[in-house]
Amino acid sequence: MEIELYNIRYKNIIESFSYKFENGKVTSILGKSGSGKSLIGYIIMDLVKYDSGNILVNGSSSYNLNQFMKDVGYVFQKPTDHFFCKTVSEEIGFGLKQFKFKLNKMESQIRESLSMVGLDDSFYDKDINTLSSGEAFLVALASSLVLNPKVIILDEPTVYLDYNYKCNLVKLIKMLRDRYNKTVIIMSNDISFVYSISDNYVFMDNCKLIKSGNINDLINNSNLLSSFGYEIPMSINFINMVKEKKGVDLKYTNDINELVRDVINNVR
Amino acid sequence: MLGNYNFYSYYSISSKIHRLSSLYKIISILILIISLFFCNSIIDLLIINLYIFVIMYWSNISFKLYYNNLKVFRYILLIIFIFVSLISFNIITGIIWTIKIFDLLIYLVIINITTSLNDLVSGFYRFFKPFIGLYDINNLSLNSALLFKYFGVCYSEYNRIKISQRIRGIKYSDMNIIDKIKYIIYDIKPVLRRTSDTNALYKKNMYIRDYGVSSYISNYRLNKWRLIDTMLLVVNILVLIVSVIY
Repeated sequence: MEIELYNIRYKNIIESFSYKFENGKVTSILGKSGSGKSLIGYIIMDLVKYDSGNILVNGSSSYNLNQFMKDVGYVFQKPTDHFFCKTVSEEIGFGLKQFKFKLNKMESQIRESLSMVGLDDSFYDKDINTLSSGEAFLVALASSLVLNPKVIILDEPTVYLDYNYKCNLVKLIKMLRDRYNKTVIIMSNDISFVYSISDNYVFMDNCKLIKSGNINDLINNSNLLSSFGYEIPMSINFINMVKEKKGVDLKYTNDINELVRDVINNVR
Repeated sequence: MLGNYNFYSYYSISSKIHRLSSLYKIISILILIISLFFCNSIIDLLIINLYIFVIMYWSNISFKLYYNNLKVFRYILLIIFIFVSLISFNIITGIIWTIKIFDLLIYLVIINITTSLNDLVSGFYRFFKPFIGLYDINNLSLNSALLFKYFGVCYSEYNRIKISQRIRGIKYSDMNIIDKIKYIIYDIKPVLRRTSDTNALYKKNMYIRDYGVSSYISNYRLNKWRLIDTMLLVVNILVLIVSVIY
């Protein structure tokens, strides 16, 4: 599913925002806190009413909003905002129940979505209040994924995650994109995370789109990020240095072994 | 939906009413309840309504916002009107009692949205201060303030749940009346559970913020009793006397 925001204006905050989130791609919205990243998500989800402009879904502005809401999964920055049921299984199963999924299949689907996000079976009956913030985020993600949305919007997904959960999330997003052709929109400040999974990027400042394009352009143009006070990951500096000195283009990776392998193969 | 003002919660602006002492506000509620209980004539009601109107005007909050805050009570007021009219066999009595309840509700809403939780705690603390040796008034004032704000917290939790259901494709406004009722009944339990969790968290935070390691309340954001509080209290007492006598 492709979502295009065209000339969106919201109060005096967003003057004009246009961008097309391509089908089957991971697009990351980058920007400092308060730059309007989450607001773009709220506008897409119809949680705030924009004043003018258009949202086009697969090129058409006359889409069924209710169907659209079912097709888009959204995970809030604060995962606890998501919850209202008592246990993890009730929370994940809520959406399934409302859309009248078969009861006998429900349990297996809940367990499947739990394992997809990297949580084991012991979480099934857990009280929602006993979850850590990271686990709560993953349960919120599972409750979105269980409805099999075509688009997934994640607002600051890595804030509460430790290293292992973060690696799992990277794998999961890649799988959703590559195997299931899902469109993923991520609002994040975590540069290394964004580099490792994104195809495209949108850079925002003061609720304005500053720059957008392919993520590789951003890797080559790390000055843009440093000018906005972002700390560039060491691996990016290394990749840029190899390119400058040896003229070799390396693929960005967070994994040091993969990077070393890449260097050996390419330099040879 | 998101980013809008949450009804029944504190509306942070500066006004004469916002700056009133929270102790005055609590005392004025009690006086108003007694005045409303005793008033039986249209003139009494007019005086009370005039007082409420002035307070509303001074609060610098638009009447539209008050209207939106009070909209939810319209069915309750209708039920009260029918109930009182039926048991008293008199429509006038029904109207008077409906206006009385409406006045009380509107006054509670004014105090609710012009007083922060913190201010309210300090108001209750000063209110209960004479009983300091008899009871744990720190706890009592915190509980009283949270009870006062209960409906506001309930409403914001209800709103949050609605947003969470909305992002999973469930939209209330498109539902038929039976489905709507079904969802509202379903939501009661989660709303109450979340409200109690939120209140417990507020209580913990407020306790640390207000009392810290000391057993006395701090003066953090305390609206002190001023001349205007005394003047308004005199007006309240006069209204009460008029209501009781006439």
